[in-house]
Amino acid sequence: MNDRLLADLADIIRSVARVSADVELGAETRLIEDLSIDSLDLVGIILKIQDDHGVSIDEDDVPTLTTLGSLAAYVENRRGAAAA
Amino acid sequence: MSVRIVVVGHSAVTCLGSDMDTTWGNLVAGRSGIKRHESLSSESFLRDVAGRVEDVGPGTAGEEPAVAKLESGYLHFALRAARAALEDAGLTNRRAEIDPHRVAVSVGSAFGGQDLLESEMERSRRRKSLSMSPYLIPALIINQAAGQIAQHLGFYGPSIAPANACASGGHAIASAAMFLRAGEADLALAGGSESAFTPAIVNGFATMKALASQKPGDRAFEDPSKASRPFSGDRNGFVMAEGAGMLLLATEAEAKRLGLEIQAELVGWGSNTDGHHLTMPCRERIAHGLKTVLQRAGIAPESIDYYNAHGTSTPVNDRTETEVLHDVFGAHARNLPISSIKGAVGHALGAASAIEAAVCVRALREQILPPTINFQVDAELDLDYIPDQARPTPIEYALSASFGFGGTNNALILKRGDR
Repeated sequence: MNDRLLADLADIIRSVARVSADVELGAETRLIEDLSIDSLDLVGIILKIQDDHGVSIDEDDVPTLTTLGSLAAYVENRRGAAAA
Repeated sequence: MSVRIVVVGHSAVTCLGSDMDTTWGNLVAGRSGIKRHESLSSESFLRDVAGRVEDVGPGTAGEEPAVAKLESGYLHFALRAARAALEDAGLTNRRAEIDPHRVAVSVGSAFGGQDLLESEMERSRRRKSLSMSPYLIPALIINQAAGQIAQHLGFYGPSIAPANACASGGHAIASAAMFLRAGEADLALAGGSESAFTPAIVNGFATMKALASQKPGDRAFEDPSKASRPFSGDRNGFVMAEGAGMLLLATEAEAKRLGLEIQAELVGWGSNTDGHHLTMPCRERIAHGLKTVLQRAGIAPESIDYYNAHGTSTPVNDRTETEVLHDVFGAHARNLPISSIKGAVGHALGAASAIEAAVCVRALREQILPPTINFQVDAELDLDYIPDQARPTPIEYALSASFGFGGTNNALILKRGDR
């Protein structure tokens, strides 16, 4: 797992969904169950990731991105695909 | 006998202060909240003289955390004003005594979340993407101010959002009073909120010649605080501002049940429409509207002790409003103290009339009339505009009027509270 990417995505989640700094975010953190992120927050997070990381996230894939770790793996994979 | 509607709390967020006490203190001291703003740079804006609220709103220290995701100023101002009105009534910690299903929320705005719309469109152009923030639509819709107040303060009675241009706040207060009188609620948060400093809106008003000019030689060129000068001979347009005003209204029975101070009584309200022009006020129709409000309230024109003017500082409005006052009050017009607080706070569009209503409540309570600052005589305008100095005066009744583009007119009559 790319720790830098994980930290970047955690920052995006904090800023978009206004998650308190007191809440620890890790690869296992579940976006909906642990952070109470709603559907609007999720769209905002996806848009911000696309903007900041230059990747395209297929909306059909969004339901599978349930944890911070799965999100980071997906972004890493898309970056690799784009570079290939 | 119809139900008495009383004011039990009032608040304001303005460029003179982010709370009512500061706003009022600066107002009666004759200060102005108008200045040049670097945020309104000439690259994007045709005017940089304005009445901005710098310490409240998205991204500021005074940001409302509950609506932080919604980066639209009018939502932050509205929520702050609503909390402050509850606090002013002493109800912040007495929520268990209130039936939340019997509390209405009525908050007007002219432009709602237009600020977020324009920033999102700009962001979309930069990103070369058609997608928009998922918070855009929820923040853009004008009823979201009432919606967010209801959500975060926990009130579930009727809610409504009059979008009546520069008379929106007054219409919101009138609508709330009607909910109370109809028995649909016992308490109502009612007011207006606005934050519309976008290039399209500022430049739109500037291009149509509604805004005060910023030309060399004008007395405001060196001193921007003199740009808004209602009823003055050299007035040449309004100065845009932002903020919110809020009243907490109650039925008399609810106020007494809760043991609340009756700060003022809303004895009359009404509205009518010019049906005349896109933007120009209609003397005959406004006069008819004001006469009707007085008649329905059963108050003789001579009983009004203070007229809180729409007084935008545009040549047409202030002349027309003066003519209307002659029509409505006859000989009493010359004895009637009149002021426009827009000289000090600018024109906060959909929030203006709600801020002015809150100021009237304070004026009735303090028995002090706020001045029209920056005043210089206009030979054609012959009334008592309370120039520059606040005036301690015994007052029982105040009438506050507002007029909006589209020919929408509103008037509220407030009576001094029980003593």
